[in-house]
Amino acid sequence: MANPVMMPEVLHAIGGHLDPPNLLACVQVCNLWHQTLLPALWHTIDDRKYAWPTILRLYDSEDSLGEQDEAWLRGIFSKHGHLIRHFTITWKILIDITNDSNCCCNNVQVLSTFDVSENITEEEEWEERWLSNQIMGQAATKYRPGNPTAQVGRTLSPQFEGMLAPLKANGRTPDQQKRDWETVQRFWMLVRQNPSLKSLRVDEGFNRLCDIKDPQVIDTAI
Amino acid sequence: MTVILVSSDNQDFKVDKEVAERSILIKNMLEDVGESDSPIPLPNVTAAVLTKVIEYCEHHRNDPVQVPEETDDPRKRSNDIEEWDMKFMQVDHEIILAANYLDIKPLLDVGCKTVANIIKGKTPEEIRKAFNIVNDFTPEEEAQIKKENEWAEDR
Repeated sequence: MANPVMMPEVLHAIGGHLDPPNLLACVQVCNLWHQTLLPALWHTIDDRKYAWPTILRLYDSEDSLGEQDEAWLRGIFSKHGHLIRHFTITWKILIDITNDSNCCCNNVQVLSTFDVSENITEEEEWEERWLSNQIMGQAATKYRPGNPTAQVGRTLSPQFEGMLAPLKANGRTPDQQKRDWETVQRFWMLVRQNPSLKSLRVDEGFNRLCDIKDPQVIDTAI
Repeated sequence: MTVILVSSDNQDFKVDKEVAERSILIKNMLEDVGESDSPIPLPNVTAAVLTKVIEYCEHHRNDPVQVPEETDDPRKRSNDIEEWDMKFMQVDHEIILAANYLDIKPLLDVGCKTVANIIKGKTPEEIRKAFNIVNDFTPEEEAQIKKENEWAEDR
């Protein structure tokens, strides 16, 4: 008799009832399950959840494993990035990696950023980020000092392009400003390589990376 | 000796006492009422399900009554499923197959949720055992898949 759990359409429906930790076990079961359930596993990537903070923290710390490790991260995104539909980024390294056309993140429908920055070298700030990651920060920025009124979940309209400029001074060294601007440009490349994008949400953290020239391009919260 | 069980939809089932007593609930009820011919109402069980349960109990009538195991390690339990039990559970599979074939979404959904609940918290090997699936990965492939998706670990 046919085993229903070996029928892709049934398996597909089963996958809809499972979260990533359980889907992780499923994709290791056999080739058919791997093929069928991988899209469900990679459908929604939120780097505040599951083991992402633990993994991505390495890239922002001094014990970074270096280029070899980054190649691994690039590798998994070039292999599975095309499966991502909902993508939430809080770690700058993911913008750096996924804007690369080799990474194939080109089917994203909902893209959100929260609190993208590279200033997390101080242990205290790390703890805060970690904490907000743990409670699945509706608003990661909420926990940052000096940003008490941060609003999260605003929408950038498609006219966004051309409305951004590098930040003036703002306490950042020229070198930091240059890197900030590079991140913004990379983020925009990521946006452009996703023609099926339906929703784009950035938070106030983005304001610290660049100057949004026309506030009108930011719509009110969804 | 036989007892009469009454399903929630008021169908009578005449069952050997020995078979009915595979249910600890029924066993306790019979002990409480003592020698009596009065039927036992089971308001939480429909006839369809009761038919299945009786079928199961008849098959298992001669099994030793399960003593709760000393070990509290859940991984040590319920790994092995008898062939007959496997076939019995395949009736659920039949329902899923029929729902899929006849395109009855809500029924398929219930079936898939049931399967998802069985999957939850299990290791890949436990899942293979539960659903009779052959591992067709090489150890290297399996390790690679795990590594590529390790971000999904719950930690």
